Amino acid sequence: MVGTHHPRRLTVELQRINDYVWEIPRQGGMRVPGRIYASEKLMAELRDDPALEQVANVAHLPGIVGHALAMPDIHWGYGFPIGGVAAVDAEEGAISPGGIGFDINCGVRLLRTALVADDLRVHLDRIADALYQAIPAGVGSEGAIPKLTRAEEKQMLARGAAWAVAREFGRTSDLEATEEGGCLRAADPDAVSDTALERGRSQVGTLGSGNHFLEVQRVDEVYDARAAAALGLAAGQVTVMIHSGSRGLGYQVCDDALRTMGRAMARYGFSMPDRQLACVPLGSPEGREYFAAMAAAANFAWTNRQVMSGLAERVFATALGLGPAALRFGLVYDVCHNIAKLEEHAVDGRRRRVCVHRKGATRAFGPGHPALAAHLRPLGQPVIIPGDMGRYSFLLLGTAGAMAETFGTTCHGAGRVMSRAQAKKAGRGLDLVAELARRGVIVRAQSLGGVAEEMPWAYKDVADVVEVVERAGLARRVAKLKPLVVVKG
Amino acid sequence: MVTRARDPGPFVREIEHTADLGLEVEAPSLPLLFERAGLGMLALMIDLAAVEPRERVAIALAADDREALLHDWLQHLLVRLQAGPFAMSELAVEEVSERALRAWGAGERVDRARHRLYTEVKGVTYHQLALRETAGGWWARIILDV
Repeated sequence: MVGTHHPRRLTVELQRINDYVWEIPRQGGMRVPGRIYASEKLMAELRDDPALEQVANVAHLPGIVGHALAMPDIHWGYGFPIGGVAAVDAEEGAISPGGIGFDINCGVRLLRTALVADDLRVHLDRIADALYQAIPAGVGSEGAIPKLTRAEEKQMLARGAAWAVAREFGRTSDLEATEEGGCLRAADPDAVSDTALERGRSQVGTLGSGNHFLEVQRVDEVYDARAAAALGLAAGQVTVMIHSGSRGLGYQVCDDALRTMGRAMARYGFSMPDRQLACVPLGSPEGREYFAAMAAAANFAWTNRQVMSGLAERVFATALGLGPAALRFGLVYDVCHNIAKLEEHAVDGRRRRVCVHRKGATRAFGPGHPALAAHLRPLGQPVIIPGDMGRYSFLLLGTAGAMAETFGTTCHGAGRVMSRAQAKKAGRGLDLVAELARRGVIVRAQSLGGVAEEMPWAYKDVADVVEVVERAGLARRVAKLKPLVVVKG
Repeated sequence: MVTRARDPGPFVREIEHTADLGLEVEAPSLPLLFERAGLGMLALMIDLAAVEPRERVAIALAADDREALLHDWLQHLLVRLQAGPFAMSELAVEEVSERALRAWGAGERVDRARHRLYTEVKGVTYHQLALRETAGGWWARIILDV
């Protein structure tokens, strides 16, 4: 049943800076102005959305520098908008779990293969079934990794993706193609609560539900052949994309921190317009503890995606009777889009150490950045932007523009335009699986309701979002990828 | 009093929220509101019709205020479902004050062969969380991250 909801709708004052940038001037308790990257078309859809007010709320964060930013896939979230970015001073700033989200290090990875899509077509149904069987969704399912002991789980949280590689899921070279090498060193497994540990123990290598997916794709269009070749990609090739996060462990780390910080923030003299934006100084005991637990949850997510990559590779090997040399699975890149990271950026003409909150936003470091592995440094950081399951996704590269304007950040996806209830209503009476098959997409999903919520009409066209970030200089397009198989929890 | 998943519903109304899932709940009494909110949320995640009340668990919670108590109650049921994994199809809130709650729930371990699972709720947010006394009883709004 769908009721009518009337959230408090402040009409936020908005000034247009240029074709793709809009500013919310400082007012009230805002410490910095807000800036939204959007085309006129996307802004027209946003004008009455509570997400704009949320950008203004984020600008209240103690220690925030530059602007409270929003990417063109911005939509209404809880606390921060989705697509929100805030950098705070590393010494004096505040950390806010609501600026990262429940699904810590929710992210996307793109794997290349040596397979050609046209040759694979006859095998796709079988591969879809086998992937659906091999990649457990979550609650109550038997994972590929048996329930870990506490000690094993803590080791995994400290080591991140390398823990999975040591267990023969993927290969060492994958780590170079993962943000932070798949491990945030700040992780402290002892900062993670027993409840969070319990929620994570049986979930390594599980996909989850909602918008999480595993896709088999075809490289549909290449915009920069040289960059694509450097990343091992060419038109017609088969890729695999995985979108998942830190599962129950990360969700619990967020909940634990919100409770602690909700109580502690008054002690630090902080007050925020939304309880979900609870925050404490980064250097406080509560701030340090959250950062260490968040880093551990991020490591869980990288391990999770690394395990699922290995599972997918095994499915292809078995289904096609091919060995690793013929399949040539390899990671193009793995990005996180819900995270806080300590980074150095130029702010008002000087280098500053800041903590960048990215909630539904992707790091997009430009060419030459020292954090990138040697093979990526000349190109810039690969950025993976999943679209809805019926259309296409994009591979982009980070730019100098993103470094200058957005703390090295770009968008993360298409962004919803319809609530889940509306999307279900729009899909009523339609055979959704047949509708997707008509578009050339084979779907395997646990719940048809889940498919309805994620149908293409529920999302903005990701091409519109990508066009804005490219024109605004926050990333550039390398390739477009079309789904052939979608597996959902 | 006990609220059972098979009692006539709906216990909650889904409200429009672009990214997440919002619920509105009404009830003549506060314990009933907690029971309805709990079953309403669990029913988003699992088909409660197939969950038998085989085993009873006691739940006691304390929080800083009534809204936080509602948050913690839902979060508790969510964690039991995901970590147990234990689903409850009967809830009885025996006592609820401004800052504490005593209740029991009855259900069983999740068995994927018998139980249909739906959306996974990641967390119960504090965003726009509201719990108010009305002319007819109690009203609450909860936004879940899905």
